[in-house]
Amino acid sequence: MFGLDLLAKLLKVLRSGDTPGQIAAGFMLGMIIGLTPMFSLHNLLVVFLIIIFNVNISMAIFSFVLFSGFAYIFDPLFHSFGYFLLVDITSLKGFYTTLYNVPIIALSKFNNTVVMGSLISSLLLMPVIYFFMKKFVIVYRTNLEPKVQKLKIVQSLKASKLFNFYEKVRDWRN
Amino acid sequence: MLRKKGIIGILVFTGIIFLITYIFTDRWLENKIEDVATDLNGAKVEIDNLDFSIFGLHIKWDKLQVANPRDTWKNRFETGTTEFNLELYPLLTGKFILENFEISDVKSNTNRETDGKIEKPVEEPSTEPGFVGETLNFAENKANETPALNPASYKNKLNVDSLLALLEIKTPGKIDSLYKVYNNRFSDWQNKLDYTKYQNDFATIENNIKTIDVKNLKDPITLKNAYDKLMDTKSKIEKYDTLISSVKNNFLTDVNSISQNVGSVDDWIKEDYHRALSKAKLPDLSIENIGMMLFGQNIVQQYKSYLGYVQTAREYKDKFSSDEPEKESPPRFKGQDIYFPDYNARPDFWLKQIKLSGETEGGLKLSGLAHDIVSNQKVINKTTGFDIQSESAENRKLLLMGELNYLDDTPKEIFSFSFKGFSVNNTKLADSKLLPEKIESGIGSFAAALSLNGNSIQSSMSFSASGVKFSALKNAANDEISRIVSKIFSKVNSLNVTATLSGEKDNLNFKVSSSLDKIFADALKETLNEELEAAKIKIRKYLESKIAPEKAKIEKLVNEQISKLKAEAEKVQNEYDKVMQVYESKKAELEKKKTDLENQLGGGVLNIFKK
Repeated sequence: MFGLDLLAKLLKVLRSGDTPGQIAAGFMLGMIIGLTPMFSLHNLLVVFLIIIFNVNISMAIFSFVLFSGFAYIFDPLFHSFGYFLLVDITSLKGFYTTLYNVPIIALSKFNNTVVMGSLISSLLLMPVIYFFMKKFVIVYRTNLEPKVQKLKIVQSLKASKLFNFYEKVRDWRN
Repeated sequence: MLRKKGIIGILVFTGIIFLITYIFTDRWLENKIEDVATDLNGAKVEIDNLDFSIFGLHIKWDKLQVANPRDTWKNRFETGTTEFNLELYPLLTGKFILENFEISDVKSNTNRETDGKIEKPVEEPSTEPGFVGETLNFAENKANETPALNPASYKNKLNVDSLLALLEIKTPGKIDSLYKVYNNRFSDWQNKLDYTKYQNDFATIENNIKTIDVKNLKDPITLKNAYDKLMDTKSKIEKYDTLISSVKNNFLTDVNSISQNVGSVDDWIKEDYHRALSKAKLPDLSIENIGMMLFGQNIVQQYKSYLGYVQTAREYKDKFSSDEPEKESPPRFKGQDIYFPDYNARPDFWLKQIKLSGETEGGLKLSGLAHDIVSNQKVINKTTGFDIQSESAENRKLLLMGELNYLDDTPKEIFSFSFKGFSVNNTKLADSKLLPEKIESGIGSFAAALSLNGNSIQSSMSFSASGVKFSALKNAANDEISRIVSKIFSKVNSLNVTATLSGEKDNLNFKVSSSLDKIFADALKETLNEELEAAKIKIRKYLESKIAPEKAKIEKLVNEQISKLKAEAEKVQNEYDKVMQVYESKKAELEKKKTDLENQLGGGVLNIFKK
């Protein structure tokens, strides 16, 4: 039932009262937490941003789960990219050394290849993800949602006893 | 844009975290320090009433107990109030710099109310013991190789029959292998020096020479042809000369080598003999070994303590030093840490100075300083040192100094410890039936100096006691040795023991000597020599009986084969000499004929020989 719950929530979020920008921003911030090692100092900051700013938290959680899977797959690439950034680009060594000697920054583990590789990758992806997610929500709401609702699988899913039972349980839990 | 509830939530969350930290940090920190220290110590380390002040970064506790892993109902030491400060700035970069560390009421070897034992996980033995570990193993082996003084083992167990039954004698096997090798070599020589191989060739050459009929040579041309034929034969003979000389020389060289190698059989017999002696643990009652027998094990235990600290210090030095990393393949989500120059020059851990004051088990007030206990000395460019001293009204003095220098790639450690004027009353001695159980009374002094420089060590320990009175022998047997030893100890009123452990890796030397060595050696020799010699003779005779037939067999082979082959070589040489004689005689005949023809036909006729 977890899959159905998640799907229902996702569809609900896409047609919720939040603006496409809020949904896209939640998705974007969740992506950072998902792609980078979770217990990092920068992720504390991202969590604070998600809580303080009016972004969609459900979408941030969904995005975190989704990108955690990608992080597992792309981990060797992040390691290589991080090694390239930290070691192979010698011109940046001075900059890193300065950061390394700044007290709080030193605790951010930026000198770890996976932290650096995944953080820079997610920072580079941020504008792209935000832009496409925002577009997708707009397109979904205007064009896709009526079609999705009319899909036989959705209708049969809704009509099934199992779904009704699930909705009752969900409402009862809520 | 901003979520007000979110901001309030974060503020509340931060407040709760702060409150929890404020309430529970002391307990958490206490547990954390206890766990880490217990792990390092190998027995319980307990802290009472730790108080952490987050504002001044000040830590204080009322009591610290460090249990002794060898006797977990006692503490190695315990302290009274201890306090120190942590530096804030390095703490933000994950580094612990401890300042103003003050320990009071340090007491050693105190009793515990609870057992300090812990369940230790099984540790995998280190494959690389390092120089310190190797040095300890060397000293331990040396002490173990020297049998403990035990009259029963000397007097009653000199029966070596059971040992000989189990003894694996290696010489016969080695002789057998040598026999096979020599057999092959002699067959090879037999082949090379075979007379019949040369016999036919020499006969052909001889016949060729004999076919030259000098009487029928009437003119210079036939004379010249006969002369050419003889010269041709000569070149064939010369070939054999080279061959025979070479074979003969090589043979004689090999014979020399074989004769010498047969001599090594005696060395093998000696090896077997020494192995048998070692298994029988027959004591070598020379003066040099007595000190090791009496005090070797005790001194090794002392070395274990001192060198154990050095080993720990070296392990930590290696643990905290790191090289520039190559690209690795870390497990998923772990990554690889890349290090950059640290301008703040702060090590991960640095205890700048400890001031300690306290009391020893014997009630000696002590005070001292330890400085720069640090994870990486190179970062602060300072060595770690300590200096603890104590003096009492009864003129007892204790001094402990040391320096750990890991600034260069070669680690260096220096320790010196001295303790004078202490009571040796009821001091237990080595576990031997030839030693008293303890020293009943006396005043002692102990000094130890230890200097390690990479893979070399210079160290000495000395213990002396005066006004000594020994207790009776432990489980004294009613035999002559025990009576002699009892007599010795009743007369002795002073004791000096010195030990040295020095040298470099693979060339270490460990010696123990004492003022009792000569007295003991003389007394033991007097009573035990006869039995020892008898046992040695028995072992030697046994070995001879097992090895003699094999030895005779190989000696027979060598002697027989060498004479046979020499005779064969002589035969070949004689045959060659015979052919040479025939050649020389024919050559003389031809020379004579040449002179005759010259006289008959005039000198010009011989120009033909110049062509």
